[in-house]
Amino acid sequence: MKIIYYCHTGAHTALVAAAVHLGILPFDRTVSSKQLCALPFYNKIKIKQLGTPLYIGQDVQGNHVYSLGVGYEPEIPETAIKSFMETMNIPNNYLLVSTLPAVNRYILTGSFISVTGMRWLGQQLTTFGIRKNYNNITDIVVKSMQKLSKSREIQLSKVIPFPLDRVNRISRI
Amino acid sequence: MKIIYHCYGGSHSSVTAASLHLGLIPEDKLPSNEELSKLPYYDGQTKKDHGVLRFIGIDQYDNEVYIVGRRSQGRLLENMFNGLLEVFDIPQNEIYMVNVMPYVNWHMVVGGFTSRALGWIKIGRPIVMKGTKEAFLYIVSLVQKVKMLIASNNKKR
Repeated sequence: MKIIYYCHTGAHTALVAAAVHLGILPFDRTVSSKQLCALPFYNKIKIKQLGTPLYIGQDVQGNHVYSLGVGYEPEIPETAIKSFMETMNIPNNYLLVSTLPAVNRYILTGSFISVTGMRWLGQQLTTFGIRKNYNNITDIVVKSMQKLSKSREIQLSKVIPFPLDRVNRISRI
Repeated sequence: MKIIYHCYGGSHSSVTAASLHLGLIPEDKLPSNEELSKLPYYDGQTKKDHGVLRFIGIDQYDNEVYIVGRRSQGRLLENMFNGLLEVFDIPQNEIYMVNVMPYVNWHMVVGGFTSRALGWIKIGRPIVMKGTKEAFLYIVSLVQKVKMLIASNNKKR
């Protein structure tokens, strides 16, 4: 199964979500900016490359995890992807997860600055923003893992050990 | 192979290009306003239709022709569709995307905006039709170029 996390660029929030999914970054601790910058592709997308899906890795269950950027007018690529999947008759064994709810104004401006030229300034803003909103990003990943597993409590504990009370807290939202 | 002509609104230039490709309109003379208005989706799509791939027809070599209105996200859509082909292990020659925006002139921009975005069809449509006729021969050359470039992929003869 293919899991595609998407954000505005594909090199910031979605990449962090994919890294959390794969266990590269932790669920339950805060993250330093060094850890973020050490991620492959972090902050490295330019405006001409926007839209290419980046293969991040394979998780414990064998699902391929990708990161995608949809730009700063996200409605058009979102409708276009669904239309494209229908047109190409791609079977429904993929999961498209939006990380846009976890994007705050620091990540938004930082990613735009980074993509249009000033990488260093964008990096400072995005790492600040991602560390601020890290819980929101991990919540999105936990929800997508819930969708993947059929029986929440039994199978999730086999995937990656993390506090199950957090799962129950999120499921009540 | 799926040929996708894309432009800003998916209502004018991409429609003309797709119709020329399929032979719905003759290449050797300028179309009249009536002929243009009969083309599928001509001056038809609005903001809610942007991003949706519209099937127009199948050409003589079994290639499917689509149009899509994608506002300013042309390069992003090309990167994304080609990338998604790779993600799902579909060969790259299944899709051929053609950007028709370089062939759009100011009349089409103004008329298209007036007709589609503002809704003033009586004012905007004649302007955009005049612009389409001005750009027509250039779009014909684009379609001929596309047909030559994809010729090696055609299975039927």
